[in-house]
Formats: sequence, C-alpha cells, structure tokens
Amino acid sequence: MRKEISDQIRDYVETAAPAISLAELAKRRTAARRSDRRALGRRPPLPRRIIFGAVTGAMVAGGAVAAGLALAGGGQVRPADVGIRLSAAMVHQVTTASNEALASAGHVFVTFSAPELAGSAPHVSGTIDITFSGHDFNAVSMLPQGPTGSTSPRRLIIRVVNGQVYTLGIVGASGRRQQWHHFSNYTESGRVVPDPRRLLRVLRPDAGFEFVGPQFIGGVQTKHLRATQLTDLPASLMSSLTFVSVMGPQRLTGLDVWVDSHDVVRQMSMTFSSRSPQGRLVWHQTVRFLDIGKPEAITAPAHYVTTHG
Amino acid sequence: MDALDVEAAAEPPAAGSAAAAFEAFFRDTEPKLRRALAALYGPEQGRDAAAEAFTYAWQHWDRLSQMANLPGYLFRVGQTLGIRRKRQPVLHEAPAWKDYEFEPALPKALSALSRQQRLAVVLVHGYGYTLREVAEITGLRRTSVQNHAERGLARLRAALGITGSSGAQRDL
Repeated sequence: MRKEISDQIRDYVETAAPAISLAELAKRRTAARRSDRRALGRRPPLPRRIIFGAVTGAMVAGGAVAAGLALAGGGQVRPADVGIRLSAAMVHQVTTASNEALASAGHVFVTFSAPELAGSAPHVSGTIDITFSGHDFNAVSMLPQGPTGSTSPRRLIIRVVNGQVYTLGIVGASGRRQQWHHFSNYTESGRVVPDPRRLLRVLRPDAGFEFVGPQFIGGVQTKHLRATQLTDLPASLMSSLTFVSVMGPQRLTGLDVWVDSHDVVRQMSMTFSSRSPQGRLVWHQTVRFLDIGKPEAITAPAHYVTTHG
Repeated sequence: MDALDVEAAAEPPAAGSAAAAFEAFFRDTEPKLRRALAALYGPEQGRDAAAEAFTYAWQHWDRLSQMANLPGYLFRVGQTLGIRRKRQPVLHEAPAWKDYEFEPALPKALSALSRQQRLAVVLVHGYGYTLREVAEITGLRRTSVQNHAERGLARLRAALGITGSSGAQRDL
C-alpha cells in the first residue's frame, strides 16, 4: 500500500462514514417529531389523525400485541415503541425469517476484543470473516495481538469443503503466504469453523427482547432489540464463534440484536464477563450478517500439502 | 424534490428562509462534524451521532441559529450522543468490504491512539483542516491540537511501520 497516510485516512473515513444527506435528516426529524407528539400527548393535525388514530386505537385495544404486529410485520419502526417487549410470536417470526434467509448461504463479519479489565480501555481486538454456503465454510481470522506485540497482521484461513479441512497461515505485514495444508483424517470438520447460523438459537422468547429503537446499520434501517433475561441463554454457544469460550467459564452480560424490515437479523452484539484474580474481565463480540442469501462458491485450494493427522 | 423542500412545504411561510439557512449551515458544517465524530467514536457510531446532532439543530433551529459557535456546540451534542452509544469497544475496525484502498491495519492503529490524538490526526493530517478550525470545533487550544496531531501521527506511522517524514508536517 503506497498511498500517503493522509489519503488513506480520508479513504477510510469517507467510505466507512459516508456523507449524511438532507433526506436522512428529514426522516430522523419526522421520527423525532412523532416521538415528541406522543410524549406530550398531543394529537397530530387532522390529515394524519385518521391514519394515526387507527394505529393508536389498535394499540390501545391490542396493547403490545398490536405494536408487535408493526414490529414483527416489517412495518416502519417508531421511537414511541421503545421499551415494548416482543411477544413469543414476534421473536419466533424473527427466528424463522432469519433462519430462512441464511439457510443456503451468507457472510458474517465478526469483531471481538480480548479480555480486558472492567473499566479499562480496550486494547486488543481481532476479526473473523466467515463465508458459508451449505456446510462449506471459509473463515479468515485476524488474530488479536497485545499492545506490545508486532503490528504485523497475523491471519489464518480455514476452509471446509465437502467435510475436508484446509488451512493457510499468513504472517507479517508483507502478507507472506505459507502453504495450504489439508488435514485428510480430520473427522470433526463441523467443529473447525463454528457455524454462525447457530447464533440464531439465542433468539428465544425467554430472552425477554425489548425494542430499543430504530437504527441504521450499514445503511439499512433496522430495529434494535435488547435481551433483558440473559441467565438462561447459552453463553458458551455465543462465544464459540471467536473461541472466547476456551478462556474459561463466562457469563453473558449483554445481548443486542438488530433486525431489518424483513425481520432478518443484521447484527448481533454480545458482552461476556468473568472473574479473575485481577478483577472482572470483560470482552465483546459483534457479528454482522452480510450478503444474506447471496450464493457463495467455496472451493478447495488448487495446491496443498496433505497432512494425515 | 429534495427532502428538505418536502419538510419546508409543511412549515409555516416564515420557515422557508429558516430552512434555507439551515441547509446552508448543514452543507458547510456536515463534513467536518461527521469526520470529527467518526474519528472519536468510529465511523458508524460517529456518523450516527453527527446525524442526530444535526437533527437536533434542525428541530431547534430558531434558538440555535443565534449561537456564536454552533459547530462547536453540535460537536458537544454529538459527543454526548456518542458517549451514550459507546457500548462497543472496537471503535475502528477493518471493514467487511474487500476493495478498500487503505492499509488494513489503519483502523486498528487509529483505535490505539488517544481520543484527542485520533481527532487531531484525522482532521489535521487526514483532511488538512487548520489548527484554528479544529480548535474551534473541539474547544481545544491550538497548541494542544498541534501537539496531539504531531504525537498522534508519529504513533500512527510507527504502528503502520512507515518510515521517513513524507507528509508528517505538511498540513501543520
């Protein structure tokens, strides 16, 4: 990469945080106005009253169930719905829609932090980019390094094709490639790359999901949901994606989910904690679902060294 | 029709000029505020905080338009929103898309800087804003901005393994 550092900074910021449009502000402003009206108990002007009144009446009659239809039925989210708890049917709708959308193929981008003492600044993080198609996977892991370690990226690629496992390590800033290895006798290929779709199992009614508010994720309008009952959720399953589970027993202390207008999960964010002699350790994991349902071709590498292990 | 025009059409007649004034302010200030908050809180949360700050300004334009340093005020509004949302520890991360043209380690290296260093490096070195401009919006002293920019750039270059002085002092 030979570009000036200033050019790179601009490229990064402008692509990751694109310009805000007046149209986007107008949408946000309209949403804020509706929220204000409800908070103040005012009636909206006459032309809107008929539609608005019908919705309000339905909410009064049906309570959270009616609001749930708007939330789970893919309607526009409203800030005034904040705090509404999703019914079992609504959670089921999200689970079903997400499972169907991700059944064939998809792509997830996982970011995670290594354990840090509670209250201290995060200093170590890593990423895993997983593409999946059926039972084939390609996972590119950017392994975390401590603040005193080399800044050179350490990447590991694991590919599972037709139950066969292939790995490739890439070390150093130059991206020097090593040889692909094929593990011919590995019988548990399903455990080499955790299936991101397993995370959908935590979308359960007993998690007590509440509507937090609307939010744009990657340019897509989503509904932000937060789990309020975490004790019965499988923390080890959720942390298995980034192998955080090998660090010992942990407790799930936060779970947020963002779903789009089709009730398909777009992002999940989790926080775990555990005790250590130094204090409470905290680590985080965010899973972003991309290219949902987009066909992916995952093929075995052309050249590799077979290891009978 | 622009979205602002749609909104303006629903406003009382006097609001038309106010909408135009806000639009001019928005077009002038949006890039700097978005970039500053994106530097502080990461591109996603920072952009969102900037959008909410501008929404707030639009809602309260009658009152806020009289302020002497409205960009600086909105920067603080955005900071409040950004702090509230700062649940995710990874502020800057390698993006999911594959065809970007910057060093993959850049986001992580930015995260490793202090907040003020990150802010100064992005605005001063990344975009060429003057020390005075950055000082106005952030409320820092010019000498502080300069120190943060210099130290931050040195750390960033070291983290990325860049040697030589090309571009190091250019924007100051």
